[in-house]
Amino acid sequence: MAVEIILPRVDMAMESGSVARWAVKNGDSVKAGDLVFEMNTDKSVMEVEAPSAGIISGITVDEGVEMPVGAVLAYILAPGESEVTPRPNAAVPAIKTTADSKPNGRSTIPSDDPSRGDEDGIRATPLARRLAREAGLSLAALEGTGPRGRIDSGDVQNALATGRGQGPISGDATLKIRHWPAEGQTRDTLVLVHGFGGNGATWEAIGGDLAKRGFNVYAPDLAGHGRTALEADSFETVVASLESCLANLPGGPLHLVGHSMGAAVAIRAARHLPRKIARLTLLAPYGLGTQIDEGFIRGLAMAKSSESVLALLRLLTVRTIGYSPRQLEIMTSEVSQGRLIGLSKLLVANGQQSIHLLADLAALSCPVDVIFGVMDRIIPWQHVAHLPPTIPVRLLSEAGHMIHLDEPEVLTGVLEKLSA
Amino acid sequence: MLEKPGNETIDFRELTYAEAIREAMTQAMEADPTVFTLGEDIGTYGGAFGVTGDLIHRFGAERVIDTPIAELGIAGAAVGAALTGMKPVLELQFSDFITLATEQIVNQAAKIRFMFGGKASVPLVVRMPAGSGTGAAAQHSQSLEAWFGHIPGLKVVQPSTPHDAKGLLLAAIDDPNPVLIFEHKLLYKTKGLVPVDAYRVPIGKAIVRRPGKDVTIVGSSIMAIRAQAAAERLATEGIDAEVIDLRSVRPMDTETIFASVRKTSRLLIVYEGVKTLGVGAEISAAVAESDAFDYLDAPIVRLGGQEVPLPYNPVLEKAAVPQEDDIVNAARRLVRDGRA
Repeated sequence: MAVEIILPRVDMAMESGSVARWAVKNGDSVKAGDLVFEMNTDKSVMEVEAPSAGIISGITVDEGVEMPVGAVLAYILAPGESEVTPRPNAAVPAIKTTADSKPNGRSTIPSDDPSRGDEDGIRATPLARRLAREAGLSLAALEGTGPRGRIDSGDVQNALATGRGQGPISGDATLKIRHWPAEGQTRDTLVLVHGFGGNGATWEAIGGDLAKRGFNVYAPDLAGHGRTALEADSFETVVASLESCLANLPGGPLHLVGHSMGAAVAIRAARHLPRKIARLTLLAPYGLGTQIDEGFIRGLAMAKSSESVLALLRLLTVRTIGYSPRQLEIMTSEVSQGRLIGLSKLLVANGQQSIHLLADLAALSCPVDVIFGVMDRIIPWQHVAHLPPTIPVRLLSEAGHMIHLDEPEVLTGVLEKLSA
Repeated sequence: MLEKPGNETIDFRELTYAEAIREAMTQAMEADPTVFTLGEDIGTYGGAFGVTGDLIHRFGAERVIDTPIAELGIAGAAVGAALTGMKPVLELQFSDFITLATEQIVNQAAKIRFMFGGKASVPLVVRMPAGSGTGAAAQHSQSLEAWFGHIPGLKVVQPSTPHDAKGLLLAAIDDPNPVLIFEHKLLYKTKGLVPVDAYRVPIGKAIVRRPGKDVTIVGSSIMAIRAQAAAERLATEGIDAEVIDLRSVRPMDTETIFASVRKTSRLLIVYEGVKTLGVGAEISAAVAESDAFDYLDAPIVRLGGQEVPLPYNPVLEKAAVPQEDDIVNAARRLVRDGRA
């Protein structure tokens, strides 16, 4: 039977969207999870994948044409199946076009299907399984409210609203931590905490240089990121992953350097472990205000192609950073596992930052410094106005969100000065 | 009167289910001299349930034939007449008596077109009063449509309204293959608007009687009527049920059911026949095998007849088949608690 490729609903308020770019044409064969098209919504560009394997047929909608959510844009035919006469979109089952709040028209995503395989024995309705599959949600973390604990669509919708259960479940709690040993330690031990979608390797640009200058440098892959298998099923899980890294590091008080979401994670960890943390430096921190580029966060969480990843990376810096195809491939394969989807929903809701750290900051006793690039396109630097007046702020006129990529020497200089 | 596109109008008036069937017979016999009817007591007596009424006075004893009490014989006569160019409409007094005529219907009427490579056909219609509720006890109250729905070569319909009773009978008479019509005894006196002119209700097409979003209730014949009444009561509790009147058991319009399940995510199937190995099992399995499966948010629930010969005692008789209250309760449990 021909499988419909529909214009998915990617957030509750979405009523229509358009194809930004078709990645396939009629007659192409696809595997489940292959990129089929990129979609414009009013907020961002999203990728939509093939829900199953087969031959693309019946593409009738041109790029850029606004369509209602649930509109059938193309079909996937099984081998040997005949062409489908496209149905008029008005005839799409009413669920997909009415204002009904059931998210039946949610995206067609399934890639690596986290609701299968390792979840034998879970009681869930077929609809709950499908919704979870499409949202990249793991059913194992959910509690069912139905008879005998059965998970139904309502439970999945609640989980999606609160961000529980995102990503594949793993029992491996080992954290991966990069280490640049000091060449003759003369300075602090630095722990560099990456931002959303990053990992320890994000710090390559300054890690080695800092080590040369006498810092002992560590950079963990936080929960839900990089090679750390532990999933980020809540903000606190991410914080806990940093705390377990800090607890395992040798040496005395640490200087924590957090970037963006990593800054927020570092603030919360510093609050929990006041004696362990000597100093906190926040680069373009998340959690000081409400504004954020939601399209970037969602886009990165959903990205499947290295083209999309590169386009998103370009938003992070003022300088044009040369990424090798290999680097892009690794980043794409990391984000395309869908591990960031749940976290993205926790960090940004209704277009705004949803976790606020000013109260935590005010409660810290260690020295805190904030550095922002005024060219930041992800989080506006003006959020520094919300900081307590005791916290010094440095603004870099030539830096975007990734200060350590745009101004690595300036940053290492500042860190050197701070730890002097 | 109802305006149709092009300013054509359709004249309607209220008829009972029995009158609608008689009108279909009249119009078919007036239009086609090969149409005739035969059965026990259908002549001067007017039929066990008064359906044929005065047809004998209008069309004479040659076309409204009173037969001996011998179901196998008269079914054989009807099959033979159909094979040789006539269009017989056979009435059995109670659908239970089809057990006697089964050889002719299952082994002959259903098979002949296939065994003769399409060179012969059996344009036979069998009309039968079916179902419980009249105190007619175990041998006169069964719902055997699933038996015959199992046989390739037969078509099986179950009208619920006077409109469909007329339209399905006319469609059945047109059909070049054998069609069995299970008419519910309790519906004969129910009234509804029926167009004056001849028209056809397509065999094999279900109809959504009431659109809704919370649960799909599928039934046919009197169960479609009870399901609609139940849906109105459920609406007062905030449960918006979609009611599908199946109308035909074979061929079955599964697409209408699938589309509804994709919308509501819950399915309740109501039927008077015994629950086990019945129409509900077929619908349930078809949904489970279809792409609608991935839209189910609760188990499929069958509300069928009890596993007993129908009792004579009127209280037990009622308890043996789904009633309006049962449908309301089952739908409420399914929507609220997600279980049968």
